[in-house]
Amino acid sequence: MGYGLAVENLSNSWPSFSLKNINLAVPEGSYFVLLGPTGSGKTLLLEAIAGAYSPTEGRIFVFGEDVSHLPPEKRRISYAPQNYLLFENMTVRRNVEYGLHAKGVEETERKKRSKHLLEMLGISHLVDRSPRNLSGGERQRVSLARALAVEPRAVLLDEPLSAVDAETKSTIIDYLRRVHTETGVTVIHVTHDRLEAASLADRIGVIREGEIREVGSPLEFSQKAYSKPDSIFESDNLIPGNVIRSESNLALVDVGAGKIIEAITDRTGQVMLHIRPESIVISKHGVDSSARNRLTGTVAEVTDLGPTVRVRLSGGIPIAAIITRRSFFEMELNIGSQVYALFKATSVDVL
Amino acid sequence: MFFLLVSPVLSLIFGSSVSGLILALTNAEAVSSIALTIYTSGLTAVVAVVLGIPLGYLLGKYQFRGRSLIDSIIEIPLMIPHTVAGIALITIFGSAELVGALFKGYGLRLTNDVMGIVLTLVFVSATYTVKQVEEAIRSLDPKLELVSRSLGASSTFTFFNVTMPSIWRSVVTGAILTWARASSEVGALFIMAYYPPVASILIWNLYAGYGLHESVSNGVVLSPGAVNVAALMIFINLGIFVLFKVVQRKRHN
Repeated sequence: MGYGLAVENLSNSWPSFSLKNINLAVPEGSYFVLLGPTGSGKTLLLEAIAGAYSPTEGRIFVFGEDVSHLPPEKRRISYAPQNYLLFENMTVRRNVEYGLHAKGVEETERKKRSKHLLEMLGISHLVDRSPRNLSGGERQRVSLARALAVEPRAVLLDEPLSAVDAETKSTIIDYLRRVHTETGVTVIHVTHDRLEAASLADRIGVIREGEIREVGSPLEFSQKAYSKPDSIFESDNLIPGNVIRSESNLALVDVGAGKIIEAITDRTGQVMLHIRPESIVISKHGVDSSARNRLTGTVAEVTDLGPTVRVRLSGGIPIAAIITRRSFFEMELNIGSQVYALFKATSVDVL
Repeated sequence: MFFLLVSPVLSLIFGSSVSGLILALTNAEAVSSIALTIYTSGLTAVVAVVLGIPLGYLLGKYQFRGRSLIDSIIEIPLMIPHTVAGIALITIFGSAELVGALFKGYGLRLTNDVMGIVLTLVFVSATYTVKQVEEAIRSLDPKLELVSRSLGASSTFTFFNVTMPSIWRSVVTGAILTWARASSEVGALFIMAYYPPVASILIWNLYAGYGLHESVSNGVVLSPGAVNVAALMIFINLGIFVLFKVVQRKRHN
């Protein structure tokens, strides 16, 4: 398989920051997530790929073609920035058809393509609206449709989920998956959110201080995190496993160490589980509970979060729970206490 | 402060009489000078917009050596006394001077002509437009143009379809300021283009020659009255100003 997008030895310096010898190879049609904290240089790298500036060193290839010296409009790489930047002087339709207009695509073809994308993204009813009074989630979808309408060779998404609420986030994640599957476009998605990366990526690249530190599949990352909890890709209840049996949506997932976690999913094979820390109940005794899952562990770390306390358990499956301050004191928990972690099958997200 | 700003204008407006305004409106000299003012300051605003947008864009978008120097230089016309501006202009555009002589060779006069008036007015007032454009460009997210170009739009297409619509209101504001400043100029015009007289020069002439009020002798109007022409100018300027405000608000909604 060829590379949809490749970056070779890219370096660039600013007065207080530099990108250092970046190498990336993103297979054609894959979903690549660039994961890094604020200030790691991920947006600058994205801008270099889009053609906002010419880096002092290095080359950028799209489908094998060297685009390093091409202006942005010749690269056929659509850029969707964090704050969407919809064209506010145009309707939603005009926004989506903008690139086609610029290229002189005729009206029937424009309409056909925008209609298809607007339907795919569930925003057909917004066509004649102004972007000014759309919600964050709607804006994000218009921005996506606009980026895809020109049938680009790659799409650059800068923190596409940072400005929407938690509920909208999962909707947008679903749309991103769907759009990627249906169009097969190569995606580079920048984020600081590990969970987001794990839910969407085929491959993840970790960027820190202007350098690519690691590249791998989400599974590789969580397995690494599993054996070495202080690694960059910290676990926080991300657990890889194998579905060993599945009956009417209730799956038994072998997560290693002789442990089975029950989850609601119809998926089979390798999966990634995420257990929401606030859905885990900690108990000193394995009390009867409706929770289908029960893991044992030793309190390894306690972090005061104000009204709540985060308790990290070691042994077997490393897990973190967020419990109320009150129950923390009532149970008289200490480092080294032996406890049970109880959680329902419905509290397990299958990514 | 408010009183100080408002009372002279109100006094002029309410002090004006219908008969005085009619006298000014029917006086050929007054009408032609007012028309000339509207024409030349309007033309000045157009020139300022056409030439000011590229300069403002350059200064607002790019960081380059000498940028802040250019930024300061274009503010100079606002800082110097108007008569000084007139003298400065004539040292280069006067018919015996460098550029003036060049144009004279083609039969064009840059002084005491409509062209001279516009030249002078552009010098003293175009800064407002450039500054407005510069500020508007600077406040635009630089990624806006990148988004457009990443979608395949050329920089020209981007400029006219994305950038201009985003800064349009600032351009209009700059044009109004330029136009207002241009229609009020006297000092520099006295030196560069005294004739044909624009309204502000005519008003001064009438006041200096005949005092505040109209002067009629044996049925012959010697002066339509400085105060009457001035009142008429206020109405016209306010009218155009209100019109612009309405247009601006419409665009906003």
